[in-house]
Amino acid sequence: MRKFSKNKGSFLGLSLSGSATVLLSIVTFIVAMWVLITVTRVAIG
Amino acid sequence: MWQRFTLYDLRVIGHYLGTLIIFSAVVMLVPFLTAVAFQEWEPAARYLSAAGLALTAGALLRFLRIEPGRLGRRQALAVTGLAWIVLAWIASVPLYFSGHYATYLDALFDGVSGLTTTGASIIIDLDHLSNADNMFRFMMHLLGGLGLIVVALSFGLFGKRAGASLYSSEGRNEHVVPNVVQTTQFISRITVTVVSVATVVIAVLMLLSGMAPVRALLHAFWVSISGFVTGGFTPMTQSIMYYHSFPLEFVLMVLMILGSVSFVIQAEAGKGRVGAFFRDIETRTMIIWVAAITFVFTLTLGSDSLFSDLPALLRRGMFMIVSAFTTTGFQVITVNQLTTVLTSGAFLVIALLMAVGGGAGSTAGGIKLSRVGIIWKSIVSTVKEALAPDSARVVVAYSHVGRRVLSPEVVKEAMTVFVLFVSTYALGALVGVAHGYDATQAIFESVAMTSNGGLITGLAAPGMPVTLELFYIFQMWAGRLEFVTLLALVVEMAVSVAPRGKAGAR
Repeated sequence: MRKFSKNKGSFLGLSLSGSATVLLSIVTFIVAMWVLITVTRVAIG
Repeated sequence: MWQRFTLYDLRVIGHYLGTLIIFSAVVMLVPFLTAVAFQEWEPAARYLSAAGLALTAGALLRFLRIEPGRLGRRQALAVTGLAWIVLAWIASVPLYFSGHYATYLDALFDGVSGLTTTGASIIIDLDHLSNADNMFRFMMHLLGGLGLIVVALSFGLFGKRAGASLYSSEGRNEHVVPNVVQTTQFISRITVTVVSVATVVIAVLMLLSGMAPVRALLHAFWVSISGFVTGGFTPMTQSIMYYHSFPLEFVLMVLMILGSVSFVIQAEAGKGRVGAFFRDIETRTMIIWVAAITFVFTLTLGSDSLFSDLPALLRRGMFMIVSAFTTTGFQVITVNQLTTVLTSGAFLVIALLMAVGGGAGSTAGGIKLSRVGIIWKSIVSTVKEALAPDSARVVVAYSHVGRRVLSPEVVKEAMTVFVLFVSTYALGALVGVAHGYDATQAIFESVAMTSNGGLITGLAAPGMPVTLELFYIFQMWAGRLEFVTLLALVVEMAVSVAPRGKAGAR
């Protein structure tokens, strides 16, 4: 627990940049899936 | 030789079980206070009585005196395995007397479904359930999603020595930090943070769509819990479809995926080690697996005229994919549409997604992505060994909180749990078929129960055959505990009641 609370720029002991990256990755993942669905759907007509 | 439970073992198991039952009484105070706040006097009386029942039973069990701090591995397995059944039984009491269940077994089914975060519900007239009963359903999700033992440990209910054995018996053997209590406190803290933030965001979205403020806040809190612990209960019969809000569905998708990412990887990212998150075997398996399956899902639905338009695929299809692979069980299409509008191919794809599930050490169920990744690595290792010269030593490594070398023990564990999951999926399907149900639906429902996925096709319904209901309860329980705890408990109990001569001869 020590390591979490000593981070600079932390929110409740969690690194803001690390947590934001995970959130952004998940959003990107969802958008990438949408692109995949669109491309596949358009390709098969 | 199998070891029997001694009388002292039973005392230790009873004592710790008593502690957990008392803890469940404290949890019941949340729906009680909700009932008081909303002046729902009948549910208030029910939850007060149930809390009293739990306090009495727990206190009586705590009379069993033991040496403090001593809890062996076998005893821990029994405490955990039994706790999930005993607490579900206690939870079913106030639910049954709500009058929203056709039979007592239906209430027990919902209790087990809530605690195991399966999310399949066979409640009658959900839309008119009291706020207190709803609050209790989501408290069960929260408690079960994090793990009964994890929550109890984070409150420091057991000593450190007892905690280590208990923690690893609940299908959670990964530590964020070496100390078990600190690990459980981290898991609880990250959950409180995520659920709080999500509640605010979702409440705003609900307010904007015209819901009354208090109702919006309650619904936002409930679906936030249900989404993050990948549970699947919703306060309305129509599930997430009730809200008709695309932004809400998007937030829930993010929440569900976050809930299916291992807490260990989240902790690594929380420490600022973002590279570890992207290199992890689970993250990579998830990306490849979900991308491949989305491709197949789009192809199979694209060939059908009913569900092939792009907006429906992007909104409904994508949400169903996320809901299935995170084993949440939120629905944005009706049960009828699931069985009649989707192609059988899309139906199978959703079942496969639930069967594999999310990350180990997360709140998701199923076989788990890490095991699938490890089995894949094992196949790679076998092929490499076949091609390498006799003198060569093949080393296959993977990344999971640091670089790890693939060892036979890791592969054995992954293979064993994989086989147990697949066997139970098949067995459950056979039980469904034996009750006269359609094979595809029986397979789907069996997978949904064992993986704690919770997307159902209507087999699990009020008034379902008792034998099928009991088997589904067993599947939910076994799947949540990942079989080993359950099998160990059953074998121990069988050996303990067997005549001494026979047990000793083994």
